[in-house]
Amino acid sequence: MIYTDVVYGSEEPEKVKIDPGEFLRRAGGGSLELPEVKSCKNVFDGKVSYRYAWARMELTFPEEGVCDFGCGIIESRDLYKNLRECREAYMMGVTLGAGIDRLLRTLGIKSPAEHFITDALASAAVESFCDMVDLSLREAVKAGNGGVCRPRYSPGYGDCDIKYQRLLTERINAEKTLGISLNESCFMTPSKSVTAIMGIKYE
Amino acid sequence: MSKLIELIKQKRIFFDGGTGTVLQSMGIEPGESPEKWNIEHPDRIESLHRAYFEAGSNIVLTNTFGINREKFENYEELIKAGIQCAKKAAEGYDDRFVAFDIGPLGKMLEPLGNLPFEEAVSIFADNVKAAAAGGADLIVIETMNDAYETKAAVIAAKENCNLPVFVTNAYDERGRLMTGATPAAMIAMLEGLGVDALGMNCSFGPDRMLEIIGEFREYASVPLIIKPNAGMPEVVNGETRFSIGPDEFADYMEELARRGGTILGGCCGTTPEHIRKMAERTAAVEYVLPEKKNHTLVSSYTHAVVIGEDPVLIGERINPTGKSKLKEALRNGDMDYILGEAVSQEEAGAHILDVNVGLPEIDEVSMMADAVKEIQSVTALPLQIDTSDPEAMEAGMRVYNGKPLVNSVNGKKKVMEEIFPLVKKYGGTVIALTIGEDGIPETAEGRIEIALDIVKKAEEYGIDKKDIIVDPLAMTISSNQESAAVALEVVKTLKSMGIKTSMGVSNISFGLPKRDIINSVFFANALEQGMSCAIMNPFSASMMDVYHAFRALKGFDKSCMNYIEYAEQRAELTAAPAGTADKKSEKNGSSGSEEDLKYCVIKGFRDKAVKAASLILKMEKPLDIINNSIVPALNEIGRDFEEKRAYLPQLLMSAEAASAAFDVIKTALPSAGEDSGKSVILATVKGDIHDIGKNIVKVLLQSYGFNVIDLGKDVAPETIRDCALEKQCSLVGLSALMTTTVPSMEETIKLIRETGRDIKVMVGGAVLTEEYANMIGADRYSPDAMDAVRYTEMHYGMADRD
Repeated sequence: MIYTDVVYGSEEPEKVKIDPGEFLRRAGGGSLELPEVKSCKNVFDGKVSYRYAWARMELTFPEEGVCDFGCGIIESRDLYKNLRECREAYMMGVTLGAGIDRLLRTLGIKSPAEHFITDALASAAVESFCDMVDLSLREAVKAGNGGVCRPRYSPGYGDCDIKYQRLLTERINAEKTLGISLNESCFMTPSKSVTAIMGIKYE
Repeated sequence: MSKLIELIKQKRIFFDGGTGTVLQSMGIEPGESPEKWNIEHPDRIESLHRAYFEAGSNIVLTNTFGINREKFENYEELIKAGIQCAKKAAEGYDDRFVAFDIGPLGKMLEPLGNLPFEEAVSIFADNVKAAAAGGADLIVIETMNDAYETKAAVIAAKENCNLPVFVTNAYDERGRLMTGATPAAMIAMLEGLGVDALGMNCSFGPDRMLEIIGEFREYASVPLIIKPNAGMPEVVNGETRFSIGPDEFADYMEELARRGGTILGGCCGTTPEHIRKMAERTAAVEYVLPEKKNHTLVSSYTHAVVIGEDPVLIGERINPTGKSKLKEALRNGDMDYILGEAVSQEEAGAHILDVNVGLPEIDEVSMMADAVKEIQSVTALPLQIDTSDPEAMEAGMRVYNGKPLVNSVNGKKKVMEEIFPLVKKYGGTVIALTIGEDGIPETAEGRIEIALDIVKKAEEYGIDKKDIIVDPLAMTISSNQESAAVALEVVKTLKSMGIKTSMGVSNISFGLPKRDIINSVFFANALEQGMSCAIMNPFSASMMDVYHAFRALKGFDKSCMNYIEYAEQRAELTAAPAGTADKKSEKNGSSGSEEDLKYCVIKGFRDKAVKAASLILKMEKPLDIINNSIVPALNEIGRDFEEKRAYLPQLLMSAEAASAAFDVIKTALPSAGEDSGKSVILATVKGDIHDIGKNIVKVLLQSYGFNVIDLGKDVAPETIRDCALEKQCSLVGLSALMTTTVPSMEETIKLIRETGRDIKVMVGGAVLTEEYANMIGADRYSPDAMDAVRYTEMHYGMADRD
């Protein structure tokens, strides 16, 4: 596939602020300030590689429940509901990189507690990083021509089949830009990765 | 030798640039497969290549980046058509070459993903065969962001054609591949595999490549390929474009040529104009090929270890000789035990891990391949593949992700003829034992002679002296007191000849008491004579003392920083045990008491709990310690968890501390090593790969002293039933996280019921509820791990053990 309009890059670990609430929700308690969590965070920061990629495209609706992104269509009533007032959309992806998958494997052998804490940290981190990219795109749209972004939506939510993950990852050249690949069931490797669609609406 | 390789020796040659931008100007639609144009619009692809030849490119990449049998049924036709397009474009020019382009498969290899290594080799092999038949001049493997996939592609190329093989990888801003490899790691592996040129492409612009080229220049001996993008993509007035134009690109490429770039080109966003300007601008830069480097390197999928002046430690613990637990683990296929040894040796400070899995009663060939793959999934340390079976050696070297250390070859003709071809094919640094046709010479001279013979013979196979590490063989002084002096003499003499050495240090004390004392002094002596690496036990404090002290004394440890850190850690470990360093003991001042052990378990201090347990063991009966300290401590933290005063990681840390203490105490139990008869089978059911919940339950059950039979994840109902019958286990725990896999939980329970045995089933997992558990016929719904422990205690009539 050929797409020459994908924007991508990386972010330093210290620039990504992990949302304490996200961590709390995943760890089922505790806080980012506990010494054992801080020590896991130090190791995590040494292994994480935050990367993002996105592309902006026109969006049309050939019929109700069908969204056409130019690179392919997605049939989903829930996604349609989210996007129907939009004429453009972003497809985006973020990842923490393969180093975190490897770290989790090692911790699975070394220490169940550190494994659990790091897994919760990683899940919170990928969500927080996604929020960061999400926000920067929102601001760019607002500053550009005054549009507003809808809440982001990912394949696998509601009735939007996980198989559409393939459309998204191909559209943002995720293999090259993020190092993400999909297996037959469309699960992503590295596992701590997120892809999403964000509609752009003009008032 | 190919004309291309000859040409590279004489002058700077150029690759082409990007295809996307050019093809778009020819009318390709976004999202269209450019590869199909090889057949649909061969004229346009030909003109793309011609534009680059005209601009000064000597090599063009065929339009085959994304082609393989998985993506295109007619891959052979597309490949041959692609090569034809490029060959036609080259007509009428001199010194123009057609490179068959191989890109990544788009699937992650095992263990991170699920594509088996040999499957990847086979897919690449089909491409290479088609390319060779189509008449390509060379193979270019490019934009690979994973070391393992790169290795699969190189092996496929080498095994299926005789064309030159060039490799470029996509590094990120940190100068690493996305799966972690540094340039040095890639250079070690790729030069070992015998590629003709290597380097970097894609990812970012030439500015960033300037920052990384130094590492390539330091380690690479083969020509260096540099193919940056035209900067980074940016949005300007709603249009996405690459940031660096042809003139600026040429400025950077001129500088990259000065700093050692041998073969230059462009990647995404570059155009024929970028290449033209680059060729013009670099014409005046002196052309210098990289000089041959003398580093002895071994590598993993992340980093290279340099074997030289600064001593390297090879952890010896994964070797069944004299280790009954490891033997048992190998016989039972208990990989977790082996992985645990790997991770803890890394923690203890080993730089390389020896892997020896040879036991008469197991299939060493498949075990070696499995062990190498599994160990590499939990540690980034390079491995030393240790076997006397050439087949097992090949199996290990083939699947190894990096350039391994190989243990070993010796001076016997037959052995050299078996091992050297493997080292030549897969790349490796090999340990050479000074054993000749007549055994081990008594004298240093005799051993040196064998060492030099081995080095000479290796050179005949094209294996450089730098990749031979001689082991002069430390033999026990208990039978011959000359043996230490002989081994040390060999080390000293070989060092003066620029040959690296290694020894299995602890053999020196075989048969003597308190072996660590002899070993560490001998180790210090050998290091002083210039020994490059040692196979040793990284858990031996006296050996680690010698290592750290030696580095500090010799100036390898800048400002003694590592020594200071080591000394601090060591002090902590040897300090008074248990909670005595903490507030609690300030109050009662006790040490080595049951209270201390209890405190350590509650606080989750693993090392201190071990220390406390070994101290109490001198005074109390093992069962008393379990019942008076460990179980009450676990119950206390368990209650805190249930009442939400503690959270899950704290519970897990306590469980880890309890398990570690329990392991110490178990050694003193009369039935040491045997299970308690109180077993629980755990499994994540078929179709489900989420095992974190199951693993938490496992840790807790083990900490309470139960014997857990962990069947893993995605386990078939029949397997679980059969295991329960075979092990006569009366309690099974099943976990499922996804709604879609609850039916397979139900199926498992049904099969267990059909056996007619009284086997209880407890179930848990995010999607389950009490009601659902009842509906599928479970005996117990456990909402959390503590509940699973309580139920297990009840099941075995052990409730209320406070």
